[in-house]
Amino acid sequence: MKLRLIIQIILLIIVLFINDSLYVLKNRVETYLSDTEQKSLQKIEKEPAVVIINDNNLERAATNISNQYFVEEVKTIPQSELVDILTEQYHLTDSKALLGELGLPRVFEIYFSASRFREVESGLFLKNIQEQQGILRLLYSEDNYRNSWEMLEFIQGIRKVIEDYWLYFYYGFGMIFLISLLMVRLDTENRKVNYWLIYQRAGGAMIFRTVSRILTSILTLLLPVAAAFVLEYFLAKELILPVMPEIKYHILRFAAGLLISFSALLIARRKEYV
Amino acid sequence: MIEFKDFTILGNRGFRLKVTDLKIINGQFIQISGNNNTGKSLLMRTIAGEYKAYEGEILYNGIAVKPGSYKALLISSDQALLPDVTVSRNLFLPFHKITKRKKEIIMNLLDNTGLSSSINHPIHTLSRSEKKSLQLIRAVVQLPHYLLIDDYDTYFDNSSLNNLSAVFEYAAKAGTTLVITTKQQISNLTHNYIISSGVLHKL
Repeated sequence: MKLRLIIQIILLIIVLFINDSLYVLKNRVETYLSDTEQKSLQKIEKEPAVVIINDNNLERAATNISNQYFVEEVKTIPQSELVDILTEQYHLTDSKALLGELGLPRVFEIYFSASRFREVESGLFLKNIQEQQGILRLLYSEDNYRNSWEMLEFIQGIRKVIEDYWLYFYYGFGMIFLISLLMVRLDTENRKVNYWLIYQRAGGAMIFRTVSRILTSILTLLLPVAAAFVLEYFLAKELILPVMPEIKYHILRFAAGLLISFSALLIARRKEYV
Repeated sequence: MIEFKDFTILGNRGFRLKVTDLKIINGQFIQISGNNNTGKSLLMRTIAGEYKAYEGEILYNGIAVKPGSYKALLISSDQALLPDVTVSRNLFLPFHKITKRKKEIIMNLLDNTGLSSSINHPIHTLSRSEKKSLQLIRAVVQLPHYLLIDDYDTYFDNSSLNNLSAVFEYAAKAGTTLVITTKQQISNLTHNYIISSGVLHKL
């Protein structure tokens, strides 16, 4: 095999690897985004707003707030639990019985729906709180959620970019592979035009030209596709590669390449004795 | 045997060459003479099956066939050797497999023509006549039915004939028919034709 053809095959292997690396990279990015998104959502879910309210306004306010679409759950802290907390926090073990008899204000926690609660919803929430009666204190700060909101917005932006451009990018590279293959085949065939002409004039059987052209068409394509597949399979087996393109994709790519490879035979330069 | 029935070769600008008298009988050494632009090369290319503009029929052993249905090799002014590769590579070019016996025959013929020392040299180091001799050797060892040499006297003279005698002897033994075209008629050949006024005549 000539050095030029070997270099061309190596070039095709590189293009295929870049093509497949893009696929792997996209999968990695998607996994990373999904993990990061999950963490941000969990952070929002686990960060409740705390409302201290008069006992007689509790039911009504809790119902109103829980009816908001961005609220996942409203959790009222029982009086006994509140007494326990105060007793423990302020070392009032001796006065625990007395605390229980006092008409303490009530406390409830508001857990937000992570997928719906954003900055706009925060404004709605504060407005809704202001409309409730009997609220003594609200323990809530937007700063607790801001990092998560920003991260979720960033992830959404990246996802949109991937969604908008991924196909162009990926299939564009696929096209680069097919065009490279076409150029390689045309170059090989055009360089051999004189050879085959002399071969014919020397008395060589032209069936060998046909066989040689078909074999070169297949080998020029088969070697890079097989090399890419075997290496990716090996890397995936050794868990170096987290994901590899499916076999049917390799087969489809081979079929498309074969079509291009044979098309090159039709458009390659022809020369005959005139 | 090849015969031509109502055969006329058609060329550019109304050129016509009428070929009726020509009979190419197996094992003969046939000479076709004629001036420039009389259609000698067209005739050779037609017999070889490369040129298709003609009227009439070619009969091969009495049966109408397409030109080139028989094994005919043409040696013409066209490039037929790979210039940058060695003599041996060019000699073995048309063979899918080269047997030891064939290799021996080629080496013997090279010895007889004084070209054996050039076997590992690239073609471009050879003279025009040497290149044609190589083509001739390469052709005869393929045992063609017909070996057609166009413009023979452009490449070979009488002394070349002596150098190539072993090659021609080999071709004759193998039953190969030799057809050559010349500008000036070479003496001592028995089967001679001449082209004049667009017609091929037997001498």
